[in-house]
Amino acid sequence: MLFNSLTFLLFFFWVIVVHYSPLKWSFKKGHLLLASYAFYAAWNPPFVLLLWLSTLVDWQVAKKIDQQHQPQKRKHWLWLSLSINLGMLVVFKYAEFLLVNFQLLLAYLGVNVTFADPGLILPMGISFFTFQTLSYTLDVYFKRLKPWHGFLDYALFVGFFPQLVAGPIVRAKSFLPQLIKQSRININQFSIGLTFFIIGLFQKMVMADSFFAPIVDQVFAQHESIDTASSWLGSLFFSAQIFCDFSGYSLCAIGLAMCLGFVLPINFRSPFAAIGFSDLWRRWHISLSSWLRDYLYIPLGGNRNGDFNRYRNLMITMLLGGLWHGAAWTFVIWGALHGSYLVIEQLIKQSRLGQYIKPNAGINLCLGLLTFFAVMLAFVVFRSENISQAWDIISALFVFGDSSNKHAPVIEQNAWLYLVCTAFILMMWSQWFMRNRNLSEVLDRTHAAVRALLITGALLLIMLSTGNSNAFIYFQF
Amino acid sequence: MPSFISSFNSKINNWWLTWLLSAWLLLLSIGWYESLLSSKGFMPSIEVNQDLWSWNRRQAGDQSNAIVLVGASRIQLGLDTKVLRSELVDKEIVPLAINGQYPMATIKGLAADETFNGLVLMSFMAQMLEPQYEEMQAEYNQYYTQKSSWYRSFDAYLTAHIKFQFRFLHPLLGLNDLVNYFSAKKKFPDPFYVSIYPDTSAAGDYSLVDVEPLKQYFIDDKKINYQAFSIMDKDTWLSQLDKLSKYIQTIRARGGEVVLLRFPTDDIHWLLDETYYPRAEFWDVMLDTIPQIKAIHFKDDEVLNSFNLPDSSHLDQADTKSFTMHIISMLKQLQLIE
Repeated sequence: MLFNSLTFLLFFFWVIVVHYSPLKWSFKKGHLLLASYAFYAAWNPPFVLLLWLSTLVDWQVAKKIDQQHQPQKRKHWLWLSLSINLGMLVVFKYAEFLLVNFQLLLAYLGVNVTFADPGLILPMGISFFTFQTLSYTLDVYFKRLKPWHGFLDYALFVGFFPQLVAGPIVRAKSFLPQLIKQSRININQFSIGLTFFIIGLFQKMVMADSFFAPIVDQVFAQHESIDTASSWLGSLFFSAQIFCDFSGYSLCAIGLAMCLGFVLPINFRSPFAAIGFSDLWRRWHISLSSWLRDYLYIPLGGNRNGDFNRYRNLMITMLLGGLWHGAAWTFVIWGALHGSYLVIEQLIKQSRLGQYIKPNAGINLCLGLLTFFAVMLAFVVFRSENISQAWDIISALFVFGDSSNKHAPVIEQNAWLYLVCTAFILMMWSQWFMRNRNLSEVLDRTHAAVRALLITGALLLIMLSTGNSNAFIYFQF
Repeated sequence: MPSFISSFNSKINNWWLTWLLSAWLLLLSIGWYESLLSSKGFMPSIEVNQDLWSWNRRQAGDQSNAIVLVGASRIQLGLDTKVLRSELVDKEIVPLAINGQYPMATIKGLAADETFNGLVLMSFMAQMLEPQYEEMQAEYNQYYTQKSSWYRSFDAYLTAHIKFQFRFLHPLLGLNDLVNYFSAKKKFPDPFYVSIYPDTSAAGDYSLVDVEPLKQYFIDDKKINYQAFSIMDKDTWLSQLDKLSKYIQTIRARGGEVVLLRFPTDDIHWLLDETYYPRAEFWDVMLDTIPQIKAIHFKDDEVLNSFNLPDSSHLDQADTKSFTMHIISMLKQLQLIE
């Protein structure tokens, strides 16, 4: 089910009515669980089985790990969970990619074999719920968490519909305690949640789908004859599109959960106002970056064992983080670019140059813009269907007054383009404005009339943009 | 619970005021815009997408009482589904026409659907059997068989019905269209003459447009279209007819029926049609080759031939009721409906 659909609004209305009815909390939790499965099944009913499989496996495995005291046996149970969860990911997400590349490798070695296309459909949100269930098992394995006592609570932690298909990736220790008793929320909390949902929809339907996506699609479709100006617009706007799309989804999820009295972790904190790449990864897709830090980077050795191992761990983490986004070399390169950015940043910080630079507002702004520029370049690779397309766009960015400008502009200069440019500038300004602020607090301090104006404006623009709506980009990951 | 939530209780918030003001502003804005659009003569309309089409397509299966309307814009604007529903109360009227696309893929899809055994009214002209046009509606049919889901179709159905309640949700009045139109023409758009209903049928109000230039545009466009490809030879025509005949036979074998309707075109348009696809070489050959076929040609019926066609090939909404009533009476004569 899509948040930006009328059916979802009816569904959510029903959920709210039952959730705030005078029924028992255990019944309401059961209802939330059923509603979550219905939410997932609306897309493709048979794939609920995968969600159940992942839920059951990690529930059992976590109990077994906790009961075992021998490290070897604990490890065996952990491997079972890893094999099943990552196995599902490999089969449904990476099988085709692996087969194609294996075929290419064999062809390179002189063996010509053609594998049939497995033709599997990627189950929506599989990367999110497998990582969520894995985090539970890993937490139990690392003895950070005791297995939860109630299976239904645990199943709801895995399947809770606001965050099920595109995150934020929630940790058991922050979510499960919220199921012990129902939170009583007041009008303010409910209103903040509802406003988050409206802002999230605005980001997705107006900013991402209506403003940025059509121009980005045009630029990437005509990459072979792209001019410099259009290439810049396409690259800048894709960065804005993916932020608005994904951050919009996360904000909707957080808002919906808040309306139901649950707190989900914040997933984006003005990432385009980041100063440096370490800062960026504390602001962009925070629930994934912290997952990768806790369950991959640190177990690999983290910052320990010298600089070389630290940089190696960073590169491995970012490469796998890139691959998590999709089965394509472009995602691997995207991860490699971010790994390199982080390594270079660390090297600069440790060098004389790094120690010489004394941060002030001007330098921070320059570093922020430099960070955004590097992030934008990486996003060009992320958006491209292949390396050649990425190369066309990136080379056009830097070809001034040469062949690239002989092409007629792909993007027509008209009133709509000026409006989209204005929206982009406002989005960037809002990132810097919100850099050290909390959206809830800003909303809370805003005058009721101003809030009403903003909410009405957002709703009207959403309604005027309904024709251009698409599925959320991150559903495919 | 985070501090920002727990601290709410200690602050004075005016969220009730916020929502009251928002609701008031929203109602005021929508009310004002709706009345503006109404005063300018705008009518509500929706956009047909693959999910909405799939919703209709779903209705065609498993129902022997289905009357399925297949074709492109002529049948979409020509047959009034309200009249069909009110006159044929025991029938399920299923519009499957897609604007600008010839329907061979849809008739193929209906033939392949084991559950379908209804009556198909198919807008027909010789050009639609040209091999290059065969796959025109394939995308919709493939989407229906491979990708559509009950949820997505239902959502599209619900969305279409709600959008049709409001003029400001007209698909051509989106933010992008408004900004570009306004900046180019320095005025608000004029009302659109075609309205699409939630069931995907449509109506054309030609009183809203200057019909002469529109007619000329359609004639010129058709001429360009005819000249763009070479006309199929006799063998191709016969082999394409054979395909169509097999689809029709398959539907018949299950208890269904297909009626080919040649919709009216005005004299100039008809002259053009006759130049490129002469009736004697195409339509008449079809009747000779497949004698059991049920077909209605507007030139064979005085009433069908008498309708005014403002843009040369589509009916005005003022005429669709009588046109539809006449088609119903013809179908009754053919004993296809009671």
